[in-house]
Amino acid sequence: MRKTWRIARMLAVQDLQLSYRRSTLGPFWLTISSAVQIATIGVVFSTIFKSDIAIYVPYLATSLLVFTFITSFLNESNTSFIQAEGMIRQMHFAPSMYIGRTLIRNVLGFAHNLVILPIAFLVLGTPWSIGMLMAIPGFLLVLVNLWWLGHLFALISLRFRDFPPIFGSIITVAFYATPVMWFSDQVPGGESNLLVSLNPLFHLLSIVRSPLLGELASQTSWVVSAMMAMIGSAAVVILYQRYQHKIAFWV
Amino acid sequence: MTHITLDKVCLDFPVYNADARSLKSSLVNVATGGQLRAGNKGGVTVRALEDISLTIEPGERVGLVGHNGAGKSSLLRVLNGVYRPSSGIISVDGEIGSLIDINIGINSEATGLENITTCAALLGIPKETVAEKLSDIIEFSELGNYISMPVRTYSSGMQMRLMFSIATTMNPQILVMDEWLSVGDDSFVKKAKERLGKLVSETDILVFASHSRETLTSTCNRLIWLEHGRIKVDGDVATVANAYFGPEDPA
Repeated sequence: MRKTWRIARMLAVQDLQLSYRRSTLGPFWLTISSAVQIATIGVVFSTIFKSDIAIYVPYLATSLLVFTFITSFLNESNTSFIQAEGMIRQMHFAPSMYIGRTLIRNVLGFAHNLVILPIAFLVLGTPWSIGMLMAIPGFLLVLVNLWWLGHLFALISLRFRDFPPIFGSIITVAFYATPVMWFSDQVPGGESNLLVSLNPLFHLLSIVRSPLLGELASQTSWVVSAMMAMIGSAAVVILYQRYQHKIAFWV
Repeated sequence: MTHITLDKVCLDFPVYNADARSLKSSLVNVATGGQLRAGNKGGVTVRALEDISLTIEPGERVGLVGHNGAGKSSLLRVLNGVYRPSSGIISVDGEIGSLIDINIGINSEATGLENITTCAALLGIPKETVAEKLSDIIEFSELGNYISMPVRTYSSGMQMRLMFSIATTMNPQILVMDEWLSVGDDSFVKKAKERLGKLVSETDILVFASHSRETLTSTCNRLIWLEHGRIKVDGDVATVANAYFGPEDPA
């Protein structure tokens, strides 16, 4: 178990290094591009929505960082097994090692991006509060959900090779359908609008985003996220009991 | 006690065509009640191993012979845990090291030193052993100062020497090997042979697939001839080698 984690961590760090080895700024290139993205969308949409930059930009920054973290992990989890084809055919590791590698890699990338938040908050004078710490349990609950979702998608993608592109287009659409750039109270009924309340990504996003913005995430979001974590994990355990030894044949 | 037992082990490979790998056509299958593509249902399976029963005791050096596709590599991968048999029982007591493809896990952007750490971890060599034998690995690979250069700057011979030096640092009870590791460089061959010979002599059990009569007869004390996934002959080296390769040249 400990060995599995050590290898997952090692490979994740290696993945990150591999992509940035020859640039001086390393993974901070990503941070810069996220910052530019936030600044641009922030200026344009706060003008379109006629909302105060000091309110809109911190909202956008938190939304975008958390949402990108979730979706980029989900996207990459599709190739967790496919990409490790060579390794899977040669050596025996627990399948979770490959999911762990993808998750750790994405958490590290997210950590780099996170630098943007305190800077944006300072510049825009966003108030700090102790309630922000609620984002930590929120984040952990998101991780639990990503853990089972990653296992699920990695396995489906391995068996059905057209799943990753299908999933990729769903995620692209989900970016617009989820209150990331827009506020949930801009649709009639706010959070109880079915467009918002039926979107699991919204609930996962909320439990991290709201505390950071000094608000409380709705109880519904917490309950939905916790229920998803429990039911999903149980389903994935059953799924893996049945199919995990097929992984080596499917790659 | 180190020990390998296989009882009536069969291994079936599912073979998927592009259609069976597509989620879309699988969904169409469901929607049409499987009528349209009934022929594809279940897919094709190839039997790679059939009814393999054998026991390997400590001290045995087992060579696998057989034509390409006879099941040698499949058997090695069943032994090291990559493939789970479709039926039959396998029990392996003892820590397994496998040298099937030693280039797995190599990262050409990382330096030789970094690769020693990661590749050794992937091969299951404990951190302490690596730390202890680090200078020995570097010295044996004859890389000198190149060890702190990225592996992409290496010639293929240099890379091979590095991977060989790392892989032969392991010290498993059971060694599973696909073909004798060949290290092209002439001056290196002799000392590589010695080092590999030492590794092999320290293991309790060796299972090793090869096409080379000379290597097999000089290393093994038992040969198994596989044909079409079945054991054709299992016996002492001279008998099986004469049956498989033909009688030895009197010259």
